[in-house]
Amino acid sequence: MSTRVVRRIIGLTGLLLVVATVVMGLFVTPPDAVQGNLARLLYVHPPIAWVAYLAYGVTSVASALYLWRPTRARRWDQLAVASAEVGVVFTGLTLITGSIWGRPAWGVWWTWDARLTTTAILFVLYLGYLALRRIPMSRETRGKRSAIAALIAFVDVPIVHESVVWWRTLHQGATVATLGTSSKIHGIMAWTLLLGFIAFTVVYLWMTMLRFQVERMAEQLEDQEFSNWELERAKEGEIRSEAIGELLNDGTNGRDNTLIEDKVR
Amino acid sequence: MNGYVEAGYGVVIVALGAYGAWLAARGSRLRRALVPIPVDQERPEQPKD
Amino acid sequence: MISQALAVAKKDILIEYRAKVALNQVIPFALAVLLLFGFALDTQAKVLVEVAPGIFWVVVLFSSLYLISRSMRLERDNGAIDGLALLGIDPLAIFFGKLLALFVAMSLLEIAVAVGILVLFSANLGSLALLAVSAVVATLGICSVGLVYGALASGERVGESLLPLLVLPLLAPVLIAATKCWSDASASHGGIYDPWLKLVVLFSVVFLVVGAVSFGAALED
Repeated sequence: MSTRVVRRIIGLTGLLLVVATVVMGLFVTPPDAVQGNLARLLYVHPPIAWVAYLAYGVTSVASALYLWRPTRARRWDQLAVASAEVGVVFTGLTLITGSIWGRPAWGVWWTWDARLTTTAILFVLYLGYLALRRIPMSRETRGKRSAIAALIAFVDVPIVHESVVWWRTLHQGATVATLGTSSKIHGIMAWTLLLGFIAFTVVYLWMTMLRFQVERMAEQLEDQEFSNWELERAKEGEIRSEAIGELLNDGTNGRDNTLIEDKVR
Repeated sequence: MNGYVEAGYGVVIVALGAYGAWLAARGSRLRRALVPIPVDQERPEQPKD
Repeated sequence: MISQALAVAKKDILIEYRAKVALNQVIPFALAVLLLFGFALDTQAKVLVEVAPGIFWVVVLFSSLYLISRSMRLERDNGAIDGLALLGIDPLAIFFGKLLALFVAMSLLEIAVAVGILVLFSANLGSLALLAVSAVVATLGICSVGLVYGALASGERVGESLLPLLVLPLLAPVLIAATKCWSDASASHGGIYDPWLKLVVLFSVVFLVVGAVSFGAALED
C-alpha cells in the first residue's frame, strides 16, 4: 500500500503546485508589455503541451519495452495505455487553450500553423490508438498490436511535423508560432512559467500512476472473475461426473440417456 | 482581464479535475470490487493518510 | 522468398480477378464521389481545376480503405493466414506479396480516378513524369501503412470500422506532399527533382521499412 501513499503525496503536491501556478499566473505576475493580460495563458499552455509530448514519449518507450521480448511484461503495456490516455487529455487541452489564445491574439480560433496542425494530427492518432485498444482481443495480442501502433505513430510524428512546416512555409511567410515567447520573459514571469512546467508534470505523474493502477486492477478483476467462473464450471463438472457415476453404478449402464440427463439436471 | 484568460484557466482546471476525479472514482470502485471481505473478519483496514 | 511473395501476389490478384471487387465496387464508388465533389463545388470550372490534385488524393485515400480492408479480410476469413503460416511462408514474403497485389488494384483505381478528373474537371496533367513517379511512390507508402494497420485492426468486426481512423491521420504527410507534386506538375514547373517528391519518397521508404519489420509481428496472435 506504500505506492498508494506515494501517489497521494504526489497528487497533493501536484494540486498545490497547480494552485500556486494559477495564483501566480492570474494575480501576482504583471501583464505582459506586448500582449497584456493575454500572456497569462503562457503559464498553462506551453506546460500542458510539453506534458502531452512527454506522455507520448513515455508511451513509445513503454511500447518498445513491451515489444522487445527480454523486457516484455504486463506493466509496460499498462504503462503505455495509462500514459497515452493522460496524453490524449493533455493534447485536447493543448488544442483548446491554444484556440482560446489564438482567438484574441490572431483573430481566429484556428490557423494552419505547423505546430497546431501537428498537435491536431497527434490527437487523432492517439485517439485511434485508444480505440484500437478497445477492440476485443486477447491481452497479449492487444498488447503487441497496440505497441506496434504506438511506435508507428511515434515514427509518423516527425514526418507529419516536417511536411506541415514545409507546407506552410512555402505558402506564408514566417507565421505566428513564436508569438508570446518572442517577447522577452524575465524575472517573476520566467519563474512562474517554470512553476507551471513543474506543476503540470507532477499532475501528469499522478494521473499516470493512478491510471496505471486502474488498468492493473481492472486486469486483476478480470482474472478473478475468470477464475471464479472456472471454479464454478469445475464444481458443476464434479457434480455431473458424480451423478453419472451414480447412475452407472445403478446398473443402468448409461443405456437410458434421458434418465441420465434428467438426473444431471 | 479579458475573459479569454479566465476561460483558458477554467477549461484546464475543470478538465483536469474532472479527469482526475473520474480516475479516482474508477480506482476506488475497482479496489472495492477486488478487496475480498472475509465473513469472520471485519472489512480490511484502509490505510489512512 | 521472392517466389513466395510472387505466389502470394498471384493468389491475391487471382481472387481479385475472379471477384472483381475493385472493378465493380471500389472504382464506381470513387467515380461517384468525384461526381459528388462536382456538385458540392458547384461545377465552377476554375475552382475544380485548382482543387483537382487534392480531390484526386482524397478520393484515392478514401477508396483505398476498401481495398485495404478487403485485402486483409481475405486472409482473416476462414483462417487463410494460418494456412499461409503452416505452409512456412515467410511473413516478409506475405507482406511484399500482398503489397504487390494491393498496388496493382490501387493503380487501377488511381488511373480511373485520374481519367475521371481529367474528363469531369477538365484539369490538365502537365509534367507526366513527376505525376507518375509521385503516384507510384506514394501508393507504395499508402499500401504499406494500410497493410500493417489492416493486420493490427483485423480479426474482429469492429476492427474494420476503425481502420480509417487509424490510417488516415497517419497518411496526412503523403496527402500533403503528393497533392503538392500534382499541383507542381500541372503548373508544369515541377521536374522529377521536385522537393515534394523527396518528401513522398521519404515517407514511402520509412513506411516500407516499418511495414516490413512490423507486419510479421502484427499478424501473429
